Amino acid sequence: MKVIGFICEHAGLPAAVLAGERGMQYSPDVLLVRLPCSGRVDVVHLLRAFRDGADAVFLAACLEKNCHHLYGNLEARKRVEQAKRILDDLGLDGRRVELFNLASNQAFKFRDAAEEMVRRVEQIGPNPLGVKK
Amino acid sequence: MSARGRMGVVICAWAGGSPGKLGVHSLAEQARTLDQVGPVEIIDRICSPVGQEKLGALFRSGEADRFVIVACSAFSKETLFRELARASGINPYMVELADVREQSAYVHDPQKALEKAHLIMEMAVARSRLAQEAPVQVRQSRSKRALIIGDGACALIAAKHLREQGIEVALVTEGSGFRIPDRLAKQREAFERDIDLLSHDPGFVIHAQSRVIHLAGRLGDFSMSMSSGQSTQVVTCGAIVLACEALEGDSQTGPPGDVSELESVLAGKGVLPESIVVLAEAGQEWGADAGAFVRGMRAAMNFKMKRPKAKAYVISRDIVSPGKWESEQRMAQDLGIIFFRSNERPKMVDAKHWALKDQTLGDIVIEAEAAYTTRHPKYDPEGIARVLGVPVGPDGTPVTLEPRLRPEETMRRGIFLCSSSFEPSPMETIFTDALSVTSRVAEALLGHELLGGVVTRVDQEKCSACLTCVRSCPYSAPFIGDKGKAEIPIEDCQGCGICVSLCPSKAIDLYHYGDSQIGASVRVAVRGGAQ
Amino acid sequence: MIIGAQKPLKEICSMLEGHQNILVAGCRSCVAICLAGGEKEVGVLAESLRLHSDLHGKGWRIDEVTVERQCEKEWVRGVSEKVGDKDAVLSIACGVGAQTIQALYPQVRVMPGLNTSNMGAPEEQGVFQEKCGGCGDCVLHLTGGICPIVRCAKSLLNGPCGGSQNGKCEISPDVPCAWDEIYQSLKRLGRLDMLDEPLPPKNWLPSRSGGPRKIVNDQALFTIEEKALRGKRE
Repeated sequence: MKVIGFICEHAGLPAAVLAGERGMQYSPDVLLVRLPCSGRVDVVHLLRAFRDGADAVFLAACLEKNCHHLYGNLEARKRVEQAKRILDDLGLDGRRVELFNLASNQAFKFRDAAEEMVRRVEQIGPNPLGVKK
Repeated sequence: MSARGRMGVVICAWAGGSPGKLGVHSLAEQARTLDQVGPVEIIDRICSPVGQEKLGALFRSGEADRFVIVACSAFSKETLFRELARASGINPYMVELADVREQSAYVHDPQKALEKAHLIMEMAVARSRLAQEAPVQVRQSRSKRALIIGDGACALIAAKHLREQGIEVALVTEGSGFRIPDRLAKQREAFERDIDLLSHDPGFVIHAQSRVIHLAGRLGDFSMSMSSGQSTQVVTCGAIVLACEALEGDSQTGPPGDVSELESVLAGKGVLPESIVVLAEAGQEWGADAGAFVRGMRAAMNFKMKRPKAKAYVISRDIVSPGKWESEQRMAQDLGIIFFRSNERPKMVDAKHWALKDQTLGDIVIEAEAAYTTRHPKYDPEGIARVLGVPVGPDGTPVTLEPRLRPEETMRRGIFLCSSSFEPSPMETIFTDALSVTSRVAEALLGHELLGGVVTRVDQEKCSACLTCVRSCPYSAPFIGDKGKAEIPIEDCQGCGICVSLCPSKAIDLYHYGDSQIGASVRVAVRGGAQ
Repeated sequence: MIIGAQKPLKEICSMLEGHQNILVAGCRSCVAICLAGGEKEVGVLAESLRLHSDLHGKGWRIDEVTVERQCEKEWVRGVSEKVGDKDAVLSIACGVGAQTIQALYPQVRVMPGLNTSNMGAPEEQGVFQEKCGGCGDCVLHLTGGICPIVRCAKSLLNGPCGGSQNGKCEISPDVPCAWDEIYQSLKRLGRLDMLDEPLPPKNWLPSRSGGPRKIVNDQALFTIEEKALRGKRE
């Protein structure tokens, strides 16, 4: 299984690092890609991840009304909604992509987000384009 | 062999948290097999002085022009490694930090952790292959002048301290000069001395009866147009301080009166009432913040000191006197002021009686000759904020970059804010704000600024001048230049990448987080390396 | 500018059935600005199509290109290599661009990925409103700068009709009544006298009703002698 987590520099990254410092365990199938802001994410990045074979993709962004860059997280929300619609149109299931809002010190929320996406993949099934072991 | 395009991979022996915890040798071995990778080294504790020396030597060796450092989280070490790179002649953004400690060793079981660490390293290598030298500049402000918009206590203190730093100050106000409110009457003498000193200071200029109408330029190089009736003037400056003073006393009619009336009387401009009640509140709903509570409390204390035997009541939802103000509140109690805590706003029974439900005592009616409230209209700088191009929050005050850590900075580089000036704040807050802003402005005008790094790059050939980036940037950085295409100065770009994601013509990319870099690292993450 | 919106993905996928080698072609002009067919949209659509192809084993090869203006021959000719071996071009420029590609590459089937809608303007980022009817006989000077042909649902020349309620058109409470707007505009301009003279019945010949329109600018047209002297440049 492969889950990609886009983590923003001001919330997702510190939360992930804190989860590490606290030794919070989560699936090693989750790989993290750092962004300067969740608003940096393009729909193409999300779609491409699935074409590459990812089973799920999530974004960890600042809490609503608290984006370090004012409204990057609101932009990210729009990108995720668009990706969901396209995935649904293509029959891949829009639940495979998700946005989670958290604060930089909410390590548990980061870990829960990662685990939630793993759970969804187990529920929906793998990406038919996924990498065969 | 040329260093161009060659990559150095440095693995910290402690990447797993302690030596030997993560198979760093297997990581090194794999690194050596990767395309474009030249020197591969394992260094013991890269962040230690010895480790730093070894890393520096590798940077200076000329064997590579880009580096991947496999170690721990970016937070602690990124700035350190980047500074070292810069000092060693390597572009600081050609250095990638792959965190295999917090993102792998600490959170997975050992076998899986090593497998994942391999992937994380290869993701960083994939990114690094596509890295481009980001523009990095050391800049000094062109102008050594600060422009202050405002005329209250905050503006005065900021002006005075900026002058002490050797910074020229121009002050613009719609009034005729500095205005010190009655509630700060205790400091009036000191203020008046400061005003007098400034009036004889050639480095300080007041533009009275003037309004700002247009701002151009950026940090270090602003041009502010202001109008005073018939004429318009342009003032150049390097930084702008927004310290507009709250207007007082023209909000409330009828009981309760605005507490500034009481402050005025206490400053000697009228007759003291026999007894008072102060409603310490702020905002739309019943409740107070520290500023409002302390203000009400202080007014009551001053009253009690002048009339020790008179009744003085303070009603609020909570006692909000944090920090040093706590002992002041204690003093207020000792002076005989009675504090009531009520969950709902007290109701006026008649001009001299107020009914409230105290949390301990239940329903009470109190009698006081005069009633005051600390609630006031918030100063609305909407018009000025628009001229300055700074976004304003739902409560009307400019949004700050980071409320806790950088409260003096607005979303636009070079425009600073004294938020305490928007409300009738306690003296301490005003002072802290003014000094804080002074230090930030001094830093901006007198120091060297490191600009660039994670900034955008506009391909003007592709730009459709559609204005999407101009409209969407939180920092108002992009503008349409003389060539009719978008330009984004590195002085203003804060590297969020929102415009990159939105540009309909894909004319903008971001250094260090380029489209191809993101794509490459995701691809490696999903499909494994060597793809 | 010309406003259009992308067709639904499902419709596009079914249009492409039976094709293998597909070029998605965008434009940097109007459709980029109304966020429907610029390079970015080309990328998103191409990626969606590739996903569709991979998921259903269609074996599609999707290529991408964006030209400065898809309605100009020179720009479109400039991408002949890209069009080269393709058996379909999915144009997400406006209908003009799509037709230009088809005219210049008669052997390759061109399909529209966009529904071209109207001539309009952005009201704010993301909101595009029809403004001009292209009637060929503009009367904006008489209507306070408000087009009665497209902004009035009935294209009335002497409105309003009885359906105008509280300044809104009867077709929807969100649509302003153009003639109410015309009245308000003329009032602000101090020219309500414009309403004293009714507009005569419109000559619709300069509009769509007259057939496909051609406008020739004599000043710009190269004369026969000039063309002979220049030589063939096509």
